[in-house]
Amino acid sequence: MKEGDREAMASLYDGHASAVLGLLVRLLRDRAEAEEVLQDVFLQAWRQADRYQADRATPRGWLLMMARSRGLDRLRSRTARVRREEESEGTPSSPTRATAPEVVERLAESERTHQIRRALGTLPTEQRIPIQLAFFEGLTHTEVADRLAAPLGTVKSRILLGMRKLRTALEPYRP
Amino acid sequence: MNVSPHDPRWQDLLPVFALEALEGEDRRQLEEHLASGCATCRAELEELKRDLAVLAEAVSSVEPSPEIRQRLMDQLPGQSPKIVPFGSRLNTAAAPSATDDSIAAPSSGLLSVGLWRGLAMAAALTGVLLGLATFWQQRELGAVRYERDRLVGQLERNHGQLEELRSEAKALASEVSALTSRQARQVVLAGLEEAPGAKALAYVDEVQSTARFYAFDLPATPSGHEYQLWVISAGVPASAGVFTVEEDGSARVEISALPAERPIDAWAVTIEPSGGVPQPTGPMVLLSS
Repeated sequence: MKEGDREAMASLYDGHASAVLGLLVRLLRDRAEAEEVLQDVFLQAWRQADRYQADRATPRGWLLMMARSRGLDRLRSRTARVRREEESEGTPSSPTRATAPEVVERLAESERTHQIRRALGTLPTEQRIPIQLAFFEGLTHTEVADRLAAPLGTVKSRILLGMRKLRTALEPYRP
Repeated sequence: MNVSPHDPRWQDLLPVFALEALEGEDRRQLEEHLASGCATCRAELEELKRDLAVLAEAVSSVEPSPEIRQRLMDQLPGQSPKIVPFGSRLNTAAAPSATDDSIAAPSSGLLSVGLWRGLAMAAALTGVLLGLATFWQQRELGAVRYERDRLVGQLERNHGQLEELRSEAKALASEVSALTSRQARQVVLAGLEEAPGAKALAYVDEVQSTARFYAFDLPATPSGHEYQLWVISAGVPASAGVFTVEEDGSARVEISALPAERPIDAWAVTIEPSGGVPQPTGPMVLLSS
């Protein structure tokens, strides 16, 4: 991959594209736009393969963080915030959610994914929800506070406590 | 720029910052502080990013359209086959023997010119043959090396795929065994007035205290609302998670730890504000029979 090997790229794509698209669809709530960003992410991975550091993230984690960063840029560059509100109408989500067509895909997900999900599930709900809203839905802390009808300070401290607990819970899965 | 003094306040804001959710003056000041070179905050930010790179893996997969892969591969710059550098090595290896002039005539006059010429020609021919042999050997060797590298690469990729398939099979087996195990109990939920056509099934493993919940034909929730699943034990409802439905009205919830003390008397689903509430407040849409 570091030498720009096409086969390695194809293998990377086959192994992780569905996870990356899952994150982008969740963030952008627009499949066409998410697939557009998906391509950009893998092109970026191709160009920046030499920046990958195995001690910092798994290849999937690295790709997902690149995807999240690009996805957030897209999300926040949407000038009409109202539009997003309309798009998100009735579709707020949580990581435990899945639909029948997704079940087959979910079944095929690795045990590691399930374990990480379970680790997230160990957080108290009041700490887990703000982290999920910020991380997977791309909300800012002000938006999280609005969504949960909670004071800003409370949201910040719940995120702080939640992230501390998460570190312990995710420790076995860190590279 | 001088390093601005470390303040515990920054440590408290770093998680929100790492989530890229910090805004306004807090964000500006923290960015300035990080830019000033505070090693403590920078190190903590790196740790948080590592945590988030793991957390990201919790996401549900969505299969991309097949044409995306092709479009991506088409956009990658082309790459010459790896045999090219080998070919250049070939020429270099073959060259010395082909141009070897170490068989220059000796100064001795003992041998006739004709004999010398004959010997020289034979020697030259031998040289050429040796050169050719070396050339072919090198080429063969190069081809074998190339093939070996290709197979090793293929083997490594296959091994990776095998590992993935193994873990997928394991996850699948675990799901199937959970649904079919002796201790799995099936609970049927029927739609109430709010959603008369809706139905749901819960597979409960009371020994492991886990459950899988599948709902069908549920209407979309109003803006700012989600469905919340409850397990009711001794008349007390406990939340088993929130969920939303897809366009076809289906949903699935995996419960890794049932919130209620056994035995569970009933299962229910209500419509609640996004994120869920500690106790049910909204209309009930599904209830176990």
